[in-house]
Amino acid sequence: MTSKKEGQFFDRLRGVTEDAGATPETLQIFDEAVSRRRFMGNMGVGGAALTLFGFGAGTDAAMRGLFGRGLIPAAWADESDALAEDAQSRAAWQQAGKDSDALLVHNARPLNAETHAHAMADEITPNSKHFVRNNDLIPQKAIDQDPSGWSLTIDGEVHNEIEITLDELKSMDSKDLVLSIECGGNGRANFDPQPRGNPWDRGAIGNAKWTGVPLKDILERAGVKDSAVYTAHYGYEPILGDRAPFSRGVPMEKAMEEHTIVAFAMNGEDIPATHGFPVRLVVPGWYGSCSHKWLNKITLRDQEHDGRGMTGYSYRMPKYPVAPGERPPEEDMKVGGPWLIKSVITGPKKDTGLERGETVKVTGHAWAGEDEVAEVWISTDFGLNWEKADLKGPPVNKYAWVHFEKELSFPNRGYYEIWARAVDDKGNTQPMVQPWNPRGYDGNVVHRIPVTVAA
Amino acid sequence: MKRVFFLPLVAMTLGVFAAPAFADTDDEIQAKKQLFEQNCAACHSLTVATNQNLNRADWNWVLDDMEDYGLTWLTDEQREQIVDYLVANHGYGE
Ligand code: HEC
Repeated sequence: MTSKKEGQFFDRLRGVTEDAGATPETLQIFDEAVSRRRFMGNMGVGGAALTLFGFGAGTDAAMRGLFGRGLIPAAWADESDALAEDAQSRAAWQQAGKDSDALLVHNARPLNAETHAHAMADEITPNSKHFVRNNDLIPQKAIDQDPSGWSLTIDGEVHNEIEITLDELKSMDSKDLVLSIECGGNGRANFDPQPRGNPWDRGAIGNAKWTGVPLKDILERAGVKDSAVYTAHYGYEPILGDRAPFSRGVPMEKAMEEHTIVAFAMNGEDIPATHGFPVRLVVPGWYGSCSHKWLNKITLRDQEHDGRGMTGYSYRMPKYPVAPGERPPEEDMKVGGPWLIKSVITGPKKDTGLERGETVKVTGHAWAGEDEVAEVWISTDFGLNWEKADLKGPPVNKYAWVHFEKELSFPNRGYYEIWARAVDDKGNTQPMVQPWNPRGYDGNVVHRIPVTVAA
Repeated sequence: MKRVFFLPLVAMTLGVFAAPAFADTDDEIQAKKQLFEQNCAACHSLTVATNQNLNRADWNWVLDDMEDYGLTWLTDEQREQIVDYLVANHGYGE
């Protein structure tokens, strides 16, 4: 919607309001509201208002924003559908074939959903169950699976700035890799007090098979200058609110690591819109925000990146341990990135009822950021005693999670918790109590599954 | 008839920032709730806020950020009322 059209619309609406006998105060409110609405441009509620009154395209989501919940027409207020308030998110959900039973939707707009722990048993996470984290909005072109006009620019500290088309990218040597992507805030719900941000429990991780070209090969085409020390990633997603584009980056060493890929397929299919169609970065083992979706530009920098998501408290950790609830000054924060050793129990489901003596198979996965999973231990007595689980071999490739299993039986009745604790090749393990930080990153406290055993 | 209906609709639509004019004046909590719902759903789902559990300092921190993101229209008084509402319903204390 052009701002001119929008202006005409609001002028007309103001006229109608005035005709209807609005007081000067109401008209003043109107004028103020209209001017405040303008910043949202064609993505925002102005556009939706136009739709509402028959002026063309828009979404019921934006109308919800326009009216506020509770004021929307009853026809749109289907509370049984978690995505009812955002038609675009719902379209993206359907386009990706998302399994609503496997996922818990935290927000419709921006679309954020995690996989229930008991739905994470697949060794390779199918598209239908992969978690979704969006800081901003999903491009409509991605939902339409329309790659026209897409290209990837490499600029900054390179000898030759280059632009690669989708066909060129696909004609380069590509690899299939099973790579875990995990939101930096996964586990935030287990912090006490709960820090601000999406209350991810365990399921903001997926381990899909990605097909793509090593970023290294692309950067080498452009010729990396010695001065390059850091990357900056950009995409074509519409931005939510009045903010700079989301842009994180990684040190050159991680960018040049052979598992860091520019991916164009997820589990053998074109990447679903909500996972970054047509092309995304996959920077495995690091906060998911490094793996920019809808990628269209990488700039090499001669210093640490300062894009949105790199400064302040976002995706940053205190340089020293802080007391729960304490916020250290900004200069005492540093960029977060590599994940810690971690595991999830995928079965039994929490609150399962068991019979005395019944055998139950504990299943799950473990992963270790830049390191290797060495062991997984299981306890059923609140961490007093631990028994080793069976690891299903080394991972298919580095950065894929490792599956574990352990048969248990409970000889006595009562309430039990099954705990899992992974150990990496450096001897790091998971804490029993979650250390705290202001925005709730790096959550890796042991996973606890309550079960009851009947008499 | 049509216009009589239309005015409150327009007013609700565009006067969303002026809760006192439309709120149930008997019920302060309801007014605060309405203020929250009408102002905080403009960019994202209300669940983004309602699934939080923060103290007053953190809610104020969130509101500072929202203002940076474009929530420029709240008066100081409205902001305080929204924070009161959030601390009481999605928080754990001062
Ligand atoms: C101008 C747009 C805009 C308005 C209006 C707005 N927000 Fe936000 N809000 C954002 C954006 C953008 C984010 C960041 C989303 C992300 O990165 O996941 C956000 C995120 C949040 C978060 C999540 C987590 C966090 O800590 O960042 C909370 C809580 C929140 N908003 C509360 C509110 C409340 C309460 C109001 C009403 C007083 C409000 N918002 C109004 C734009 C807005």
